[in-house]
Amino acid sequence: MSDYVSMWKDLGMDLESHDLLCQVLPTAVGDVFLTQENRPKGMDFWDLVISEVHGIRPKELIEEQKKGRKVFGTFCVYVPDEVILAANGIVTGLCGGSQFWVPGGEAVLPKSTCPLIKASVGARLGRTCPFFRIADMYVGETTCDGKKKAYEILGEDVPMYVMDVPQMKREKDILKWKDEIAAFAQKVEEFTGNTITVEKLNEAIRVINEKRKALARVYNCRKAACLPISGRDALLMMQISFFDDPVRCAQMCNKLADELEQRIADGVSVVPAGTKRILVTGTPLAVPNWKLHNIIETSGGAVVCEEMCTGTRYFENLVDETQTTLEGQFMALSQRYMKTNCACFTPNTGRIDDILRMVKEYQVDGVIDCSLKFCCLYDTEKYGVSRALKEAGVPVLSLETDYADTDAEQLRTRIGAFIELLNG
Amino acid sequence: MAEGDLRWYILFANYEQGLALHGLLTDAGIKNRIAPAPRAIQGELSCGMSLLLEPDAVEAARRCIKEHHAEYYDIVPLAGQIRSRRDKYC
Amino acid sequence: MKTKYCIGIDIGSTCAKTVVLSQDKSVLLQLLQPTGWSSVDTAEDIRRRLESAGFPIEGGAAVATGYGRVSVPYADKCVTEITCHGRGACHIYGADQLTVIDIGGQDTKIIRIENGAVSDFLMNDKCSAGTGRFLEIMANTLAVRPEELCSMAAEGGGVSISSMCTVFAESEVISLIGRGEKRENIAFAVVDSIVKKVSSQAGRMAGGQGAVCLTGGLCGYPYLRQSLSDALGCEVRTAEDGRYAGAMGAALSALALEKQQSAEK
Repeated sequence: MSDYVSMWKDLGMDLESHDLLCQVLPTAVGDVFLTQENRPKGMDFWDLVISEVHGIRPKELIEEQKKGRKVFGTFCVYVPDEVILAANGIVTGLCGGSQFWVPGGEAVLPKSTCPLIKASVGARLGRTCPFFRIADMYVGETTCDGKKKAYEILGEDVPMYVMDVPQMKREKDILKWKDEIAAFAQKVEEFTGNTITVEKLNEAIRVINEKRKALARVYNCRKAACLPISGRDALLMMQISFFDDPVRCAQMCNKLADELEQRIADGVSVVPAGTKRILVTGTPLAVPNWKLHNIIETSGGAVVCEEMCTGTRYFENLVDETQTTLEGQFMALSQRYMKTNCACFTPNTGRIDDILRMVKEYQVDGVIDCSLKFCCLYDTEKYGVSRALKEAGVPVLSLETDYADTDAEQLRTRIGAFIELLNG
Repeated sequence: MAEGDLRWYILFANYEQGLALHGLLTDAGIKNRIAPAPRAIQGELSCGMSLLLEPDAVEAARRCIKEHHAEYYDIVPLAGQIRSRRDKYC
Repeated sequence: MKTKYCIGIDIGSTCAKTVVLSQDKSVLLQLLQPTGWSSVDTAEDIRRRLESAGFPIEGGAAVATGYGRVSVPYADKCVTEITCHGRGACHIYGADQLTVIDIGGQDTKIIRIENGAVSDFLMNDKCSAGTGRFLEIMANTLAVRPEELCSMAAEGGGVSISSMCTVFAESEVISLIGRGEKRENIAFAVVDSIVKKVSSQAGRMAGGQGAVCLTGGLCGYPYLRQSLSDALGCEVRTAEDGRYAGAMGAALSALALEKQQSAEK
């Protein structure tokens, strides 16, 4: 038996079912990524990671666990990686992005739950994802009702800690989030047996800031009129960054950014001049959810930015590195995280400001506002987003979709018509 | 080349071998891409990584492998793997 | 070779429409046929019909649209039905500020036209409420043809259907039949349900300049047009060729394509 298969077996995975998932992934990767010509050489790294998505990184995590480190699985960009890293823990993203896991989630959740939640629960209960098996503790958060209730179900199967995210952004909410971070730090210390010191937290803050800066460098390259990387490739990089070691992630993103900056200087673009530039906003696109980007980019558009959790919300804003007490560091963390504009907050006009700013920064021709089915929060925000964009004279298309392939043709009609509209 | 056409995949026992050959081929100017090995040709291997070649690069790749005694498992042709508008996601 | 005509083919979910236009945009031929179960066969049939009418496909640029647009191998280009309906409606109604309501077989579209080009659009979700299919299924249940159902509806009133889902609505209709409700009243409820759904969709696109017009297969039903006008509080226009709007737009796109290509040469 080969390495990975025995590893999956040791993780208690359902090998037969998992093999079905392994069958569909190569086809999708081929169709979405390998159809592209002239990709940056730096994408080799992410091509390798996605080819071995259930192999390389899970194996590394298990090796680290053998050394006594703990792995924390998270579902939200509000959960502070810095705290976990400061206690020598490892963070891995756990959001499910595959239709493959949805039926497993529907076995215990209402059908009218968003596919991300259904897939996440299905991936755990179906035992078909190594990351969901490896994580020693799951860290949830109260960003929507569906997740809150799903964490209760997951909590029956795995140690679960839930952080209480505020719903408003008043000064007292920032203080409240600081206290939540402090309480979480205590939990992480107990669980790992390691003490979080000012020095360690400062180092963790620095490491995660470096990762944010590296991701931001790649995104900066996408602002250029000469587009050096496709939206699909940038999305893959972003999705994998939730799983990777933060130091290596920063290295790889910086290396990619070097190449992209050179491409811009040399005038190397992945699309013909005049290709309409699309900003995608809305709910996250968890790996391997590539449907929207693939349809946009095979309908004559190019995605230049994602205003979403798997996008700008993950890396914009840095944490202040000058604090000298834990109290000060927790506050600095709270201040940075509370700048992230999630639809779970009211009011959330900051998101509209972000979108309008990014439309300018990324030289956007049109915005596609897409939410996952049954995500009441982002669906409702479409009204305000679309009104603000129309007032600013920016064409916008609002869409709703899930992980199934069945609406691809409907999406192609809408997105195709939208790009025809942009082309005039 | 057309999307559904025949392409060749170099399979490996592990990704270290795959990366080594990827480096050799790339240095020799032979076009190749890191790609997940289609499950249909993967057999008992659990290494997910393969190298994808266009048909006109296969001979050069074989020569390069021979010259460097590079390790690999097999070179297998397969058609219909790459279609940008198939809309089969996972 | 300079082409003498341009072809637009709109393969909808229910009907396939074909329009041949001359260089000066006058209609040389219109074809209407059921799409049937295979849009590939339908496309082939259209090719033969065009040939026997003296418009072989080789002689003119062709653009395909509609949900079956990808099944027309001989088309020079595919353009979405939204763009085509917009263009076609502009031409048919002779206006460049317009709101187009297209009630098709499987979807309903609201298209805003500013300065002769699509500026915004809305389509119904993956659901047949408020579409031609909904009307067709309800007409079947009542054992009448869709156009009969619409005329009957004018004589009815006082009943409503609450379900948006076609399957549930059908069972509501069956209960109404079981209760002995007059067919005219049930027909009224069916049309009323479509009109409410479509007008609430159109309401989201409110505030535009120019007339509101109806295209698609249902535009020949006077009662539907009247109810829609009442619900929207403005006159909804229809035209004889309204159901050819998509094919007309496709033919106009073919004309533009042909001009662009000869300019490039």
